[in-house]
Amino acid sequence: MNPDSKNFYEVARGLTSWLFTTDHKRIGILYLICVMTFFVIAALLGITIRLELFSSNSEAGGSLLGGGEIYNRILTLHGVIMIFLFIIPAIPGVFGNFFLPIMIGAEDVSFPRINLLSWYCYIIGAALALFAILSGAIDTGWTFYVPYSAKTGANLILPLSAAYMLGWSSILTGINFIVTVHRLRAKEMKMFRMPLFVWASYATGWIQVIATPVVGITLILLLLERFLGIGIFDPTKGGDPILYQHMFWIYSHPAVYVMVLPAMGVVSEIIPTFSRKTIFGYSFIAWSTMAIAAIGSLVWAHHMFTSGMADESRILFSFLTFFVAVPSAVKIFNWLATMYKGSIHLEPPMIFGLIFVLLFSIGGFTGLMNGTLSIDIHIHDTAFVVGHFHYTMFGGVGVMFFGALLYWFPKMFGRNYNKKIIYLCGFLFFVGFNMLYGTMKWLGIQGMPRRYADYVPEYEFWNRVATVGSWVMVGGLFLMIFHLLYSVFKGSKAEDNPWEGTTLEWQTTSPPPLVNFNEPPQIPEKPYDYPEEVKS
Amino acid sequence: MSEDKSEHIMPVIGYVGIWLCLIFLTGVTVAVSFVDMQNLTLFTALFVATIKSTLVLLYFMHLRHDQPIIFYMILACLGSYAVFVILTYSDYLYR
Amino acid sequence: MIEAASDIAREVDYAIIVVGGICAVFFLGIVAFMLLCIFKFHHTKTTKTKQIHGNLFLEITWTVIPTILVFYMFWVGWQGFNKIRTVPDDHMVIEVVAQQWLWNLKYPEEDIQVVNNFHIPAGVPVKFKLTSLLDDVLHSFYIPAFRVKEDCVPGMNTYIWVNADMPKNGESETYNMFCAEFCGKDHAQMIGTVTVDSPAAYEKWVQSVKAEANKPVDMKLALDATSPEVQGRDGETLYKTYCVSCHGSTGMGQAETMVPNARDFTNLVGWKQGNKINNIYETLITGVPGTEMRGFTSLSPWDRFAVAHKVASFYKGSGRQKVSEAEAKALEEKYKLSAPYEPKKTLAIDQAMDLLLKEKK
Repeated sequence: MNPDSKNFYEVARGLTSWLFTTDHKRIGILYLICVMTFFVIAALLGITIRLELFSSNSEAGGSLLGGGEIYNRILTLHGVIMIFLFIIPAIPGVFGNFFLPIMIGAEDVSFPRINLLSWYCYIIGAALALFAILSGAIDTGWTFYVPYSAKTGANLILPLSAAYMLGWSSILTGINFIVTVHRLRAKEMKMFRMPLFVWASYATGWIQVIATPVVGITLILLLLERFLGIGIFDPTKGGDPILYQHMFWIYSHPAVYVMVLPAMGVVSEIIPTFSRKTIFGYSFIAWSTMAIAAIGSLVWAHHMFTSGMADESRILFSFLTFFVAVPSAVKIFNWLATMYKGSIHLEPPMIFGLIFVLLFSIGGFTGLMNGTLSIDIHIHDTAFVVGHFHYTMFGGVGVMFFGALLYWFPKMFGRNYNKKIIYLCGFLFFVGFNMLYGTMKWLGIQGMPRRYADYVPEYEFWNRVATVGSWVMVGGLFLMIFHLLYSVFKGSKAEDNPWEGTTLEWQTTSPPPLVNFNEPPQIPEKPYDYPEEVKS
Repeated sequence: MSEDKSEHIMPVIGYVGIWLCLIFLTGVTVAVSFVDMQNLTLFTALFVATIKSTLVLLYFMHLRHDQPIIFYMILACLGSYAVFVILTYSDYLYR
Repeated sequence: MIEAASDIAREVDYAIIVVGGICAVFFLGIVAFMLLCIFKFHHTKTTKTKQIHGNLFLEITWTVIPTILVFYMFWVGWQGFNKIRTVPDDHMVIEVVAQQWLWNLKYPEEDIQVVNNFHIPAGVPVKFKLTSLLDDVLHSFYIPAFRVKEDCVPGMNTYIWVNADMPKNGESETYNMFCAEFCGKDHAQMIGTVTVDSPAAYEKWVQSVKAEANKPVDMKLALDATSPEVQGRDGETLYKTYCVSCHGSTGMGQAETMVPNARDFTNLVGWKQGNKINNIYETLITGVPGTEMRGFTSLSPWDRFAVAHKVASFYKGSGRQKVSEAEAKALEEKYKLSAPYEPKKTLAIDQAMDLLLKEKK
């Protein structure tokens, strides 16, 4: 390696060099700054929700926010920010942008300018969302269900246009990944030699391109409904509110896989690396990724089992839903088998990878309970569902976002963090997380409905446990974020390959140079090639 | 890359023909909307719309002269939209 | 687990245990295997790895077994679902109309109507026909003890049914009923109770509701807004049910709701038929001819007085004239208020809905 070559931070300085960059790595860093900011904001909103639910309003001083109005706004903001501004762009926007081209030996993505445009779409969407907050927030929940969203006094045009712009950002990223994978792979990088994170980003790209336009159409129809009263969804004009739910979930369910597939891709990187062992069943993991993307697009109406939809459709969608479980299970078994007869290093990213496997399994298993028709009639729209999707979305995607950050931190910033602090954070997070969302599942089985600003006194004890859990969890998370922020500037210099990884990003310097590689990288026959005899 | 293929140019009269086709099909959609066909209304409308978009894709967007993989990709998109509509329709058929 | 108060509730609990049990076994297996790997193959213990690229037999096994299991789960859910959706023929009907943020429950057979808190007989299948007011939002009728819920959709009829167990004390037992679909500000307050009664207790309750609804009117108490009889009727709720869509929650009428010519209740100027309580009472029967205001004949006299007082309460000044003895007497005689009230048969709610929908078209 040439020690004198400049890394991509050093080639240009100043604000404009960032705002007008077309370097995929810098765009990744821009995304990182934004999604982290929004994550912290939304997490604080989440803490506020839990504080309100600490006591039942039947007690004196039981209501922190003084009733449903403010609570509903906070709840909506928490959902909208977490979903549209954090989880959807988090892993593709940050790590997909940064590492996908490097991992296939490319210099950049196929359309660097469109890549920058997608970041600007994100920023415009975020600005509209923030403006919506300042101008008297929305109170419809992140699902914007009609007829409520067509009637509420809140100003809906801003948040809807925000979601619309964010949809564009997502589509542009997706197109870029698909084309990059097809066009810019290094010569020996065959499709079935690609790292699994690339496979996951590729499948994600397809969902983004196919499903996101549907939500764009839906949001436009909703705006037309609200301002012109065209009567597609409005029952007083002969419209059908359930049609909105169909159209909304046609996008928003596959969006769940837009979030989770990249996270699964990161796990498929981390587990072989820290087991010093090749991945078990490479092609099965790759194909199960595509299978999840395909089947996951056909199961949206399981969000509507009590909506008044035809009974026959409920049975059909329940049947389809169960099939998504199979490729997910195949992945989990393959990851476990990868650890077998390896040489396991419990470094911080591996700890987060294992936390992912545990929490995501719980999320998946409770998903099976939701998919079972008779059970869902009971637990639908209760705290159980809230617990379930936090296990998959936060315990799955959120955890893996931080796992990916810990894994690639030395590469992205050329610095190390203090592992002991991260272990402590991981422990606090895990304990608090289960106290919070595990309890929610129990409350849901007890019948506590979701989106309640208040509850009957029977539910008070477990709600208090959950609120205390939220403090522990967020304490751990914020400590980690602050420590990582500190390490970006003050951490010790990192090596080029601290984890003994075998994928291409570890062959270049930390941080990488502008063109990603100073010398053409060696492309291995298999993406995770470890010797039988490894260093202790 | 397909620079050699993009040389292919269709005579203007061809484009006009396609355009007239599209106008005609729009007329069909409007005409059909006056006939009450119950459950078939949706399918006729979508069927005509599909033919129209296929024409646009094949001729105006040059898909006919492009690499087959792009054709298959777009076919996959169209296929998934068809599945979305059919699955959604299962609700309306039985409700 | 919370109390299960019907066969279906126990069936759902059984499904939770079966599906949850299978999941728990798998989850424990995952945890055990993970711990085994961590301890046995920790890098301090082993430097020799075995590079296994895969195993077709294993892959097929762990694809096929989960497939069979999820089929089984689907089947369990389907069976339960069929029971939840199949109403026995010999059922009684309760019509539920949800609105922001309360439940109207109407018993067509008993010809009574209650709000939020209601009773059902044990051992009789009860079918709840659900809908929301046409210009309202989505709600969801949820009784955890029976493990059933279904959305109330404006302009659409949905249903659930229950067959409640006999209460343990032989008389009656009360459970919570919630709104489970997000519906705005007071979503969390849209709560009611369902009381399961033995047949005898149920009959007693029906009679008491009827008696209360049809009690003869004492004019002195009826004209006094602070009397317990008037206070005991939920004028607020009735106002929300019948008046709020045109006259608004602050009583400002057109200025608030944009409904043309809707009366503003906050002043005393220009009331076509007079602004005293007896005038308002009569207007609630006759409507105002030539305007959108119509009569609400299905209200019982006491309820109508409660609404009249609610309407009057929007004017905060002291200029409203008292009703004279003679006027009170005249009203009492004109509508025979001193005799027990005989409710007229009114249109069932879903019939009314159908009519409304047809009119709209």
